[in-house]
Amino acid sequence: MKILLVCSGGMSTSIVVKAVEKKAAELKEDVYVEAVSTTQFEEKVKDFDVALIAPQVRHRKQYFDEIASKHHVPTGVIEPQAYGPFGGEKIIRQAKEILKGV
Amino acid sequence: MEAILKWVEEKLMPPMAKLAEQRHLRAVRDGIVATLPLIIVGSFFLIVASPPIPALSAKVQPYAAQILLLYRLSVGLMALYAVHGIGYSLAKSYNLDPVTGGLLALASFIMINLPQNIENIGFVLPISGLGGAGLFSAIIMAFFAVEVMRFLTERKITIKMPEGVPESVARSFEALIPAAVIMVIIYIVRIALNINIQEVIMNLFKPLVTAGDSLVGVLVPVLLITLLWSAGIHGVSVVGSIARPIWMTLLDANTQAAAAGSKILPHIAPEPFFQWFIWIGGSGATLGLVLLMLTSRSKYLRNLGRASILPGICNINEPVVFGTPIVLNPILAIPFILGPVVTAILTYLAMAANLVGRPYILAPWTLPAPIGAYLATGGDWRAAVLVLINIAITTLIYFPFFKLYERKLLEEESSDN
Repeated sequence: MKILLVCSGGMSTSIVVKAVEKKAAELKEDVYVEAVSTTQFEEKVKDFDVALIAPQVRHRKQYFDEIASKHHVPTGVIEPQAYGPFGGEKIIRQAKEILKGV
Repeated sequence: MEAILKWVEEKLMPPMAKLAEQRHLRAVRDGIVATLPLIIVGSFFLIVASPPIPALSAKVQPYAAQILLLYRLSVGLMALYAVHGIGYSLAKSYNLDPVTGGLLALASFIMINLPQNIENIGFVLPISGLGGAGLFSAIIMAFFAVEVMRFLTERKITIKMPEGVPESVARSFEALIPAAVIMVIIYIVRIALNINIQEVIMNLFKPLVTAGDSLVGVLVPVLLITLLWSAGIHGVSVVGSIARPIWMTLLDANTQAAAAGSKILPHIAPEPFFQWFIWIGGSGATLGLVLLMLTSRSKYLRNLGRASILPGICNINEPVVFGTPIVLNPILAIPFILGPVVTAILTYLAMAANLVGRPYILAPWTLPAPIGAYLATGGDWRAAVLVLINIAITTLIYFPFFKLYERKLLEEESSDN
């Protein structure tokens, strides 16, 4: 499962990437996860199964959705409580649920 | 407090977020943000030309003019670089050809700056209008160019090439009529009627720039940014799309004064003012809160503090904002909003009284705040001291609210066991 995380500058999502990677290793899940900034989103999103939007840029969801839908990549907004160093498991679960619904 | 947070989430946030997503503002933001690498590197040439160490400064002095050339061709041409990006993004948002949009925007902006014929040299374009002072003209001219392009394309007033013509050729023919319309309009207004468009636009936006440098003009974005963040929205990203042209204009005026050798710079509040002196550890000056967490009796807060201290030193605070959480937390939102207001007033007054140098260098925002403040002021050690004072003040402001919240968490933690 390839997850793309997007925030404003790609800085804070890179912290979340570590949290997800750590949890994925613990749960022995096959997860590849990468963080991008808003401006890199367009060129990256096509290579991923699911795109998750950081809560602080949720007001731009429509913009991300427009780009992601061109490449048929489903999106979701990460819930605020999961957006941090301890939220890895929640994010993996959320990504799975989104993919199940596709 | 809960009522305020509810109001922010339901009333303040949606229109602000919508405004920031408005296509013209988005284009301005993307265009200006794209120039930041050039401006950051370019403004460092200013420090190199006049290093903060007197002995070194004397040695560099003979070469200063030479070193400053690259500053003049980067920061000094800020509007020229931005206008292309603004036109590019705006055209893209309309599904028009972005390369043509960028090109026409660039042309429209250059054409309102008339060249002068200098003896022995030939035609020369003065660069004074192409830097920060021309930023608002650049924005308006980019809008003008792309809107003309859109108007003509929507009404199918373009030259269409038959199928099979290479795309690049077709594209240049499609741009013919928009280019002609734009150039004829600019000719009539700028040359035939001799209206100095640049000056008109500058005067129009002058009150806004003056307001942006006042104490109220500092407190409004500070409050909006923390209010938006307390509803979990990236405040700087939203407010910055509106305020950044003002901040850049102030910054450029300061860099020019510094390059000309003045000791006291004209403006207080370009973006580094907020970045280094107010948003220490991230928006809401959360470094103080993280420091308190490090020794918390609550296991959760202590773990979070340890995980957040390194990002915090680099001014990344999403782990704290969402993890603690501060978002929609009626206890911690108070110091989160109050602290920056206090430090903003203090810093403003300190700079107005020239106790601390004013910022004019743009440094990467992930540097630790005291270092960033030192660099931003061109090497004023008092700036670093002020940052440390601000950290102490915000830590004190966080303290009672932190204790209150910690007690609440401790109760929950003990009832869990």
